Amino acid sequence: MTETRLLTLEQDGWDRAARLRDLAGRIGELEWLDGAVARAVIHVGSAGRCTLAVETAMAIVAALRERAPGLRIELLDLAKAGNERHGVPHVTLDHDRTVVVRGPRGAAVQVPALWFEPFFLVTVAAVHPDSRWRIGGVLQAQAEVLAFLNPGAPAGLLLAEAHRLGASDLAIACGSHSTTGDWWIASPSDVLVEGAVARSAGLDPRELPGVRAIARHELVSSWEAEHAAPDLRGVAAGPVAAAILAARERGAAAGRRTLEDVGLVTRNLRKVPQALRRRLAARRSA
Amino acid sequence: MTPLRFGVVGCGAIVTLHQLPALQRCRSVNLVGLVDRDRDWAAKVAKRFRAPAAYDDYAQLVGKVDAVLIATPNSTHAAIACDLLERGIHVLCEKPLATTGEEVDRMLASAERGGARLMTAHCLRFSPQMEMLKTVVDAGWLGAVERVSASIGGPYEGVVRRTDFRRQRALSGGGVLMDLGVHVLDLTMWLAGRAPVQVEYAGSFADGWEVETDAEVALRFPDEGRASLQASFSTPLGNSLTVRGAKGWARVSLYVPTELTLFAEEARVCRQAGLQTLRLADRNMYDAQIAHFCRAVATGDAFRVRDTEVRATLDVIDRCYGRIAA
Repeated sequence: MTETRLLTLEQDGWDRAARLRDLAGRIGELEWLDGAVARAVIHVGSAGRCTLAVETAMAIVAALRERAPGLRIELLDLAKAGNERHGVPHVTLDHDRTVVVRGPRGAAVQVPALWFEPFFLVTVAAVHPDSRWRIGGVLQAQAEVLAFLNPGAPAGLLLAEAHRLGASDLAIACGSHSTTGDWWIASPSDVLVEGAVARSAGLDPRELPGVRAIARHELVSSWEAEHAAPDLRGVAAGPVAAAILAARERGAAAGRRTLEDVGLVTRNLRKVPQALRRRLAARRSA
Repeated sequence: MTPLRFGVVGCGAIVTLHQLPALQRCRSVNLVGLVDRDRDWAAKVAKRFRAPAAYDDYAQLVGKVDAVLIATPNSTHAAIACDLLERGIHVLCEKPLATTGEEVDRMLASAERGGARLMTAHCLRFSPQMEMLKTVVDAGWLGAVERVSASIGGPYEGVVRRTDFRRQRALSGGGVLMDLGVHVLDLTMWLAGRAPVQVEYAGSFADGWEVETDAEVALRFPDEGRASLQASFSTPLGNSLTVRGAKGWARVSLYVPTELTLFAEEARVCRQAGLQTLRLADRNMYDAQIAHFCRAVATGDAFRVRDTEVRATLDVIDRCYGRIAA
């Protein structure tokens, strides 16, 4: 039996609430919620946020509550201030509760201290055109946590690090089509969801700037999985703007690195007199 | 906050290299005088650090200061501190606070009688990687602490020093365990949050030394947790500290304040991406220590270095040296 790694669902004339219950039920049957044991965080992506994304998140909350009544469930919704929604407490990102993690290429990013605790993460993202990523979806939603904590850091780095360090246990992309209604693509793999959205939009997933940022360091999932795709043609922004923005980001990052290097060199030069004094003191005492 | 009028007793290398620059930088400190048995040296240091007065007797500070830093040879700490504390002068005392547990008791009693505060300058507790390690342990990311291993030290010839008191038992009160080992003992018990129930010790002496130059200590804690610590004046050691818990481990270099490596098996980020190297903001531990001392004196808050912890550390050293039963 082949393991199902991607679930695609369209509204098909169903009532939205019923279809959402159906979606959550199917996800449960696929055992994709089994990892939610003690604590779950449901993250609703800010960019392109819509009612459907919030309702999808709440459907997952309901399914989790039904499966594990003792489960601690929290919402992460950067676009919505407040302490709770429908009885689900909000997780707040606090600049004082962060840890700086050094990445594989030496770049450091601030991550929430929360990431060092055990929890099950579900990310729900409303798919929308995005000039930087062409398609804004779950990868962008995951990265917004790091973007909040690391203002000004290169978006490509943050997207790749969010995937490397904080990829969702369950990723759900959703949207509404003008003729066929709501649709959802879900998977335990964030990259697979992003790829499926790209294919549905008529793009080669490997051409997506977000996937490329990840594929620089990681063998990304196979895209060959066939699925009944919603028609998402027209959801992607053009490639030119994405390329210009990426180039601008690279230039800014190089500038920042140069400034950092200059700062470090200056700091080291300032240490020289003290080091010399220390040497002389050692020599005198010897 | 009104700046504390601060005096420094003893002008050795630790003071000229680290403590005086930190005192100079601290806005809560008004440096009023330096004391050294060698008055000429005290005057030279005072000139260099723009302290208005230099003396050869700490008693000359009385009436002029609110607090002092004591950085004299170990065996002199207790007498100087007791005298100053009884006169109501707050004391920040270099480690080891004293050479025996009994001396610590006397110092605490003097502080009580004089209404003054006493803190041991366990500087490494104020180093960013140690603060982060304590946070990690207390947050339970590693689970219950099961094992701590640490080593500190290197050839004595490389140690910057103004006098050779460390070789003489009468002045040092002990060897490398007392001088350097006390750092890792203190950190271990601070991180473990408890005192050991069993102590094993082995020491060896190099030629020309009245005290041990190499020390190994094994501790067993009440819940079967263990620690193995090494200190040396003869061999270059790793100068690192590793904490292993039931659910992970963390490692720091004693002298690299900006990094901590950890693996916590339940941490989401470690499940995703394996062990993590945390990068920490660089901050001078001596600056942080002085600032903490001044703040706690001004507010009446507890010191990070607690009396009971210092007493327990000296108790372990006493047991190692066979002064009390292990």
